[in-house]
Order: sequence, then structure tokens, then C-alpha cells
Amino acid sequence: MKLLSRNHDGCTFLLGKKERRILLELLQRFPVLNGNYQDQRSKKLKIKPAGDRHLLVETLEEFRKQTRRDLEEILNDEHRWVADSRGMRLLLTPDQLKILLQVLNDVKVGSWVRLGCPSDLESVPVPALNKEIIELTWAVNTVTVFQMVFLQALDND
Amino acid sequence: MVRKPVPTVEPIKVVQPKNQKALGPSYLVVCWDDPINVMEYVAHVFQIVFGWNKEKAVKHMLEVHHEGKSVLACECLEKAEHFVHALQTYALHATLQKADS
Repeated sequence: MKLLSRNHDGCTFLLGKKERRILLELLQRFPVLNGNYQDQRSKKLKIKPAGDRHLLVETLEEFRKQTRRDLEEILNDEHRWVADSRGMRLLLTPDQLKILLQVLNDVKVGSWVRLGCPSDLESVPVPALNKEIIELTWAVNTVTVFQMVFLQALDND
Repeated sequence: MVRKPVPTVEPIKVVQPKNQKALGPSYLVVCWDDPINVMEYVAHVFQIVFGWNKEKAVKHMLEVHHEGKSVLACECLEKAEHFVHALQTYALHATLQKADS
């Protein structure tokens, strides 16, 4: 995937057909991150956060439902995708781009949590590799590739 | 932000104005380092959530990366909760901490 053009109305990306399938596959996984993630991280760092945790978890759940609806709207909009001789062009407004970035990061962090939050993905011992671990590691790494192109598109410098 | 040791947790002290007690307690919005979020993404989220320019967002992102955490705001409970929630929706590890008076 690469950035083709950028203006005030949004960005245009060029994707190969396989890239498009992979991007859609990753986006459709949302939400992956579970509601206990923040508490798990705090516990690991021995932090006792203040505030109403129950309220935060509830609000986070409502946010995920709304984001899922926003995502469906973007994915079901036929005008987002335009066939090109080189593949498919994806047209996104800045707001849609930010939503996709947020969704992709949820998929990435959620996959990492399912891997057991390794400090280094390469540290997973080879004998421990199985289909699920390979698949989750692929998701983490592949999301990062899409993420970096989207971030580059939003960077005004 | 990869290969960082788990930071030790130290009390955070914030200097408050003399009339702060009359306004109610302050709360800190703290963002913590993790080995999964890329630096560019963290700075991007800070820009969106706090409306900061890139320079300020990068400064705090680097603080998270090097120090293990960064205090991003000191606000009343309601506002601080709003910011923590916003950061958490981006899958960053953020917590609310009562500021020492």
C-alpha cells in the first residue's frame, strides 16, 4: 500500500488486490482488545489507578460499539474503493483515516495481548510456535505496515 | 516502544496554586510505556486527544519512551477522566492518579 495523493478532503492510497484483502481481513477483526487490558497493565506495573474503573470500562465498551458501526459504514461505502489498472484506490477523509488507525491499533494491541504481551516478538522460542502464535504475530507485524503508511499520510511535516 | 525495562513507580508531586484546595483535588493523567505501540502512533494520539502541536506531542512521547511514563495533564476529576478514557480508546496504557497536595 502506498500514499498516492493528499489534500484537505482526504487521502488516496493504492493497494494491490491481495493487500486490500489483507487490510479488510485485519479491520474486520475489530474489536480484539479486551476490556481488562488497562487493569492487567496496571497490575503488571503495580499501579493503583484512581477514578471509577467500572465507569471507564463501560464507556470503553460503548466506544467500541460506536467505532464498529463507524467502521461498517466506511467498509460498506462503495465509493471508498475505485478500481485502478494497478490495483485498487482507497479514498479516505482525514476522520475516516483516524478511525481506521484506531481500529488497526486495537487489532494490533489485542493480538499482542493474546500472545501474552511479549516484550519482544522475536523472543518467542521456536519450539513454542504454533499456528495461533504465528497467525497473531503476523497480525501484529502486518498491522504495523498499514499503520505506518496511514501515519505518514496524516503527518503534515 | 520496544525493549524497555518495567519502570519503577515513584510518587508524582505537582506544585499547585494556593487556592487549589478550594477548587477540589487535582488528578494527573499519566501515560505509561509499553513494548507494542510505535512512537509515531503515540505522538499522533497525543496530538488528537490534547490538541497539541507535533513538537509538544513528540516531547511527551519521548518522555514515555525514555522515562517509562509521562504526566500529560493535571485537571479536575471530570476532565482527567475524560482524557484517560480518550487515551484508552487508542489502546494506550493511561491511568488517573490523585496529585499530591
